[in-house]
Amino acid sequence: MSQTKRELLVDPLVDNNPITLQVLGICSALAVTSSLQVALVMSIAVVAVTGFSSLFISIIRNSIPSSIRIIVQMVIIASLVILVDQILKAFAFEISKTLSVFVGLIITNCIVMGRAEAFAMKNPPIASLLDGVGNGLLWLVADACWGCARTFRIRFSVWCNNFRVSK
Amino acid sequence: MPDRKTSTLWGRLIALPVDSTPKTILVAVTLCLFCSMIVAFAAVNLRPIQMYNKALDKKVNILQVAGLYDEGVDVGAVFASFEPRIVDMRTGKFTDAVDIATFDERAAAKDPSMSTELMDDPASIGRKPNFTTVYLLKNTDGSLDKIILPIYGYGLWSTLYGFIALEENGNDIFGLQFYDHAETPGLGAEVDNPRWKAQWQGKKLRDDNGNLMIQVAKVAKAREHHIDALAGATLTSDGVDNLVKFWMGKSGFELFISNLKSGAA
Repeated sequence: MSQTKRELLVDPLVDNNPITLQVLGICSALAVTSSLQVALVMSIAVVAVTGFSSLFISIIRNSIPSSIRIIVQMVIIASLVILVDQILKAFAFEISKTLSVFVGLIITNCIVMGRAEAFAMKNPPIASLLDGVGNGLLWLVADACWGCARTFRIRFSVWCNNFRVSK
Repeated sequence: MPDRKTSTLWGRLIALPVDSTPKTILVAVTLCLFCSMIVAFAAVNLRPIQMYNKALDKKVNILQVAGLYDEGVDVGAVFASFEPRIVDMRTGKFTDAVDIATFDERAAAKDPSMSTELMDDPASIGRKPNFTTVYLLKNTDGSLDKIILPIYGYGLWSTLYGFIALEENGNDIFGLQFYDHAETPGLGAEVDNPRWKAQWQGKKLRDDNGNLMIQVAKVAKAREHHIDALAGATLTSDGVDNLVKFWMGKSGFELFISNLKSGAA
């Protein structure tokens, strides 16, 4: 991988983290991170959506009329999210029940549209795919940390309670 | 000589600048058709697996509400210990009028020939099905152990579908559980919280005079009939209150339960 491509993938993770620095997409980040497993599945869904939406938008970027470009982006993103939701319902039913409406809310996740509009509209497909995956991944990293912290906090308070009871 | 590309209508359309109106419409229509086809393809093809998951989930919920579910248990085998029966809601008696294997409750509840329109409709369900599936759990000697009844009604955003498990006397609640709803996660969806659900166990539907006393409310009138409402989810709690009262009351299973106790079912 060339230097620039690696930057595309890694940059959002470290230097330009959308959650911690740009404060994008934290609404659902807070909602789904109550346990680590759920947070991971949700993050994978987000990575898939950011990656593929950037890829597809980038492929057709030269034929998107500017007057309807946001709508075009939304249609592509929404289709992908429905696809992810259907797949989760079929193959990860328990988790999809826990995630409930939040899978659908990926559509409104600011990162997805932010990257589509800011990057994929101007850059070639492969670079856009990497940028999308990178930004999705960082969401995964931030979510995983959050999920870990919250899972640990719950375990810890349960453990404290046990301690109190046994005393 | 005209350019070959612009000689046909299609060619002229393609040659238009991207931002022109016809091209905009062309892009919009093509994209919508393409995306809807992909979504429809996925929905249709994944449907059998999703239906299987839902059916399995319903069985798991029946086991859970009856207190028979443990992690890794063989759902099909344990579920076989239940006796599913169809009840005619108008007479409160068992019936063989519909085939239990193919009976689709949700479709029947909407079908005018299979349901009755409700005048008094506290659970906001519109129509009451004429037939419902109940699940009887028997002891090894054949006597009744638990009755599992389907209940549903509107909460804040969605219809909550669930089961209530009653002890053999038809008055003591063993458990209540919803398996399908779309209430707000963290607020109304706390109906799934094990600690909240645990409250139902041992509560009594009726007082000694047979009045329906069960309530989901903030303030307790009588401890043995009271379920604490969910904090921050008043409308969902009210919905649960309404639907439990509805299904346990006169328009619901009251007749069936009394028939079952007297042996007339």
